[in-house]
Amino acid sequence: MNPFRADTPNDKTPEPATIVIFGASGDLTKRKLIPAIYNLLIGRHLSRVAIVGTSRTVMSDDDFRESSLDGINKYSRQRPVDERVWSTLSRSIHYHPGAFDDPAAFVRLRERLEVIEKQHHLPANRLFYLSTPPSAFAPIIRNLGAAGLVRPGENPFARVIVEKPFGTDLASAIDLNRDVHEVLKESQIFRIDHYLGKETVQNLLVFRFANGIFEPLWNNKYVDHVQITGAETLGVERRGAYFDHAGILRDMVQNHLFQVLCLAALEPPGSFKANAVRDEKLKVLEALRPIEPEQLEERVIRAQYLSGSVLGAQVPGYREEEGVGKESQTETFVALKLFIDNWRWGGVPFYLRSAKRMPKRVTEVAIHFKNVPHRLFAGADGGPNVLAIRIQPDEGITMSIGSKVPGQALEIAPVTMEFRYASSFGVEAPEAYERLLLDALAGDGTLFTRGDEVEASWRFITPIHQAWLSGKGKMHGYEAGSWGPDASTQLLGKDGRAWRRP
Amino acid sequence: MTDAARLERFSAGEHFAVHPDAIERELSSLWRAAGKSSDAAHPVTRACLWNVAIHVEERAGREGYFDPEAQVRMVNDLPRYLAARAVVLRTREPEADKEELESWISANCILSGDGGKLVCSEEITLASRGPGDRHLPSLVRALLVPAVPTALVFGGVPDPEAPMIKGLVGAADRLVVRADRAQGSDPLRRIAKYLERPDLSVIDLGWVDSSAWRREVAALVDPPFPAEEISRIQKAELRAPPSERVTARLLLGWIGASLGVGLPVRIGHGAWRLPKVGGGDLQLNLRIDEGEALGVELSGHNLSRPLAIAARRDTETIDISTVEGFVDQKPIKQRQAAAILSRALVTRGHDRAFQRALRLATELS
Ligand SMILES: NC(=O)c1ccc[n+]([C@@H]2O[C@H](COP(=O)([O-])OP(=O)(O)OC[C@H]3O[C@@H](n4cnc5c(N)ncnc54)[C@H](OP(=O)(O)O)[C@@H]3O)[C@@H](O)[C@H]2O)c1
Repeated sequence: MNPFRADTPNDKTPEPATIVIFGASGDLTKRKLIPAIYNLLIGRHLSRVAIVGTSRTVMSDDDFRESSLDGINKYSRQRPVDERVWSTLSRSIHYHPGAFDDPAAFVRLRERLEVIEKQHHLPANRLFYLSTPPSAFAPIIRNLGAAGLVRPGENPFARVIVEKPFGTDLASAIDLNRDVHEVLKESQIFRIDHYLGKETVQNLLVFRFANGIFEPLWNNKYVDHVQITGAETLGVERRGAYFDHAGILRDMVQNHLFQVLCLAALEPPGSFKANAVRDEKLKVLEALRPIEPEQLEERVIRAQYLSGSVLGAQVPGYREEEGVGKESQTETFVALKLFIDNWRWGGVPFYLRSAKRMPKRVTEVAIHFKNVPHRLFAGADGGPNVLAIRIQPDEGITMSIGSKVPGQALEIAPVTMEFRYASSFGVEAPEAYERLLLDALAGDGTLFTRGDEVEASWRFITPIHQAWLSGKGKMHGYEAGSWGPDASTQLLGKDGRAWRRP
Repeated sequence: MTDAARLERFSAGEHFAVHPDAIERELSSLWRAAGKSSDAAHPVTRACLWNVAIHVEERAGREGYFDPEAQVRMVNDLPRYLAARAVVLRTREPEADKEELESWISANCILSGDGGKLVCSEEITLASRGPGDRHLPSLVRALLVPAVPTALVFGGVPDPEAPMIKGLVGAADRLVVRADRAQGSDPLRRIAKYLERPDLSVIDLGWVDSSAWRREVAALVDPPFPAEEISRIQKAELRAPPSERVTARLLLGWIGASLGVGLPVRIGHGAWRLPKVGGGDLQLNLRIDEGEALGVELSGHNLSRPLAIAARRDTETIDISTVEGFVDQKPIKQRQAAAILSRALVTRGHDRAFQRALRLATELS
């Protein structure tokens, strides 16, 4: 324990370390990782680091520095670059070319790391960031192990961050977990779900467990149902070929929306320690009532966007997109009716929807409370209370309550109380990747997905996907720029409910 | 003047003179007008996380009369960093034919990042002349936004026993002082007096401003520096220019409290000794010299060379050297006073590290 950091509980400054990025020539490195490290340095959250980029592309240290600087100038939330911070950072950026399936390359990497650590007076703490195509995850980890680069132990530490997706179905997730665990202890592995790095997602926990008034209402006695929406205005852009293999269920719901669902529904953990929180998330996933193939029509709606207009621009239909097959059966919209079979949530439906080409970009959780047991004000009704937690954009919380309309008549109208992050705190929230990199350097896995969690979510999702593959479940169409197909309206309509317009 | 014209001038930052007992009413009516304003592109949001009462002493020779204009600038810059209701207390010399008490309201607006909302903080200015300052504590109490914490900000460290000060402090949850701008002897001891009220959290702006420096000191003993060698540090010598004399003492107190236990004994001019955590003694030296950069050198028996850092104002860098002789240079940013103040208001809680540092520093005299 560093005696100078005593009594500063919020100081998470991690030990000096080297961050090794696999996939350094890629898009994520330039757009997110390097800018995140730069912003962490500006905020003085890191004491000392070196960065070693690696990928197959041959380039020099200076080339990689140049592309890093370009990334900061284009994508950093604090721009343009501060010359003095950059001069410190650029000196500690290095590049080491190598193929990820070549064991000898890893031995050379180890030797290079030792030289770099000596040069920067760093201990042998190493964080490996796998920002490569998922097919490279297992080979890289195997080769890291063979080259003696990821020994267990905390002093020095060796940790690995793995990008998404972690598997494409249950079997592949189990395989990948097995490959990973042959080399690494679970405490060394950090599976990224960048939603968990978002301030507002973390605030779900703060909101629920740091305030006394909500938690007593957070159950089937008072909650009628919950709606979770993850809507994008974008189509598949240039990732048509990739997306056509994935679909929105596997690309968004299995990971991001399920994480949001878990945080909205979990039981109070005993502490904010990594395993305490993740144990509770796992219990939510395990309590999800499976969707049997014969219930598919009644509980899951899938659809593809047709041509239409989004934010004033005419856009093509999904099957007309580049990289997408004319007969494609991949969904760009999914709505699900879920139940969490436990004491707290018994009987409360959780409606989830996620889609591309929606009218606006929004991610939110809305808790719809039950109506009052007796209507005191005949004919006048403010509607049920809704608590909406907006995750992006315009992060904030709104609460709708019924209020008397001024005047002689007893009219009740819903009014909203609104809290917005940007207005209240003024300061910009850090990027998800900043928080996640810092946590991984500090060894805190709370905001990362554990192996058993990933498997539990695939266990739920995979049968739905397989049923679709076998031709079950009608594929609906919806006009781009709408809130989805009629069938989705029906999903709630037949329960006497309606989607909220976020 | 029409409502719309008043509103425009209000949100543009113009000060409106109002009678003290009409302040809340006037503010409400201006906000009501803002709510109806037709400028849909920039709807106005009124935001408040803190009540911040800032004392601007304009009477020469009084505590806090260091640079009243700098205090006013800090108020003007504050909305960029913190949504708060600012209550500015300007105390002036009596003047014939002038009211004992005057007040103004104004709004400080910035365009927020999320979709062009105009986010406005309110500013209420109360100016007293001569004995008019006796009205200030009760006015401040009346003007606090309910259920929001209250910070009281001084330009120095005023005497805790002065009646107006006592009244103001009574309304505060957090007290922000500036020891390196204080007059009179021993401002640190005066700060310690305020710590006697357990529900008041006290913080010093010089301390907050030194956080980058403190982080670098902590980083000196991060790995690869072996943890077991920390106990071999036997001497800490802190150097500072006269202008940073008080903060330097506070920082030496922090180093002493981090490495040592108990209270220091004076062993010479600018030199003290105190027992260390694992046994043995730690010597603390303070050297104040014109031209020194705020720096510290940690040395000991078996350290091959001292660990040292120095913050150099001329180059705006912190120079660092460690046992291995490795020299690094890190930039330091000069932060605006308002930014430092907003850092001081990130939490309402006690800063334990500051309290420990202060307790030890008051013994270093
Ligand atoms: N971009 C995003 O916004 C985003 C968001 C969330 C998650 N992700 C995930 O993050 C990872 C990286 O995304 P990206 O957008 O940066 O991808 P990218 O631009 O395609 O970059 C992939 C990187 O991996 C290397 N690579 C490619 N094929 C390889 C192979 N067979 N063996 C070894 N290395 C190989 C490439 O470098 P060389 O060709 O030089 O070897 C390149 O540096 C992916 O897993 C993706 O799913 C990305």
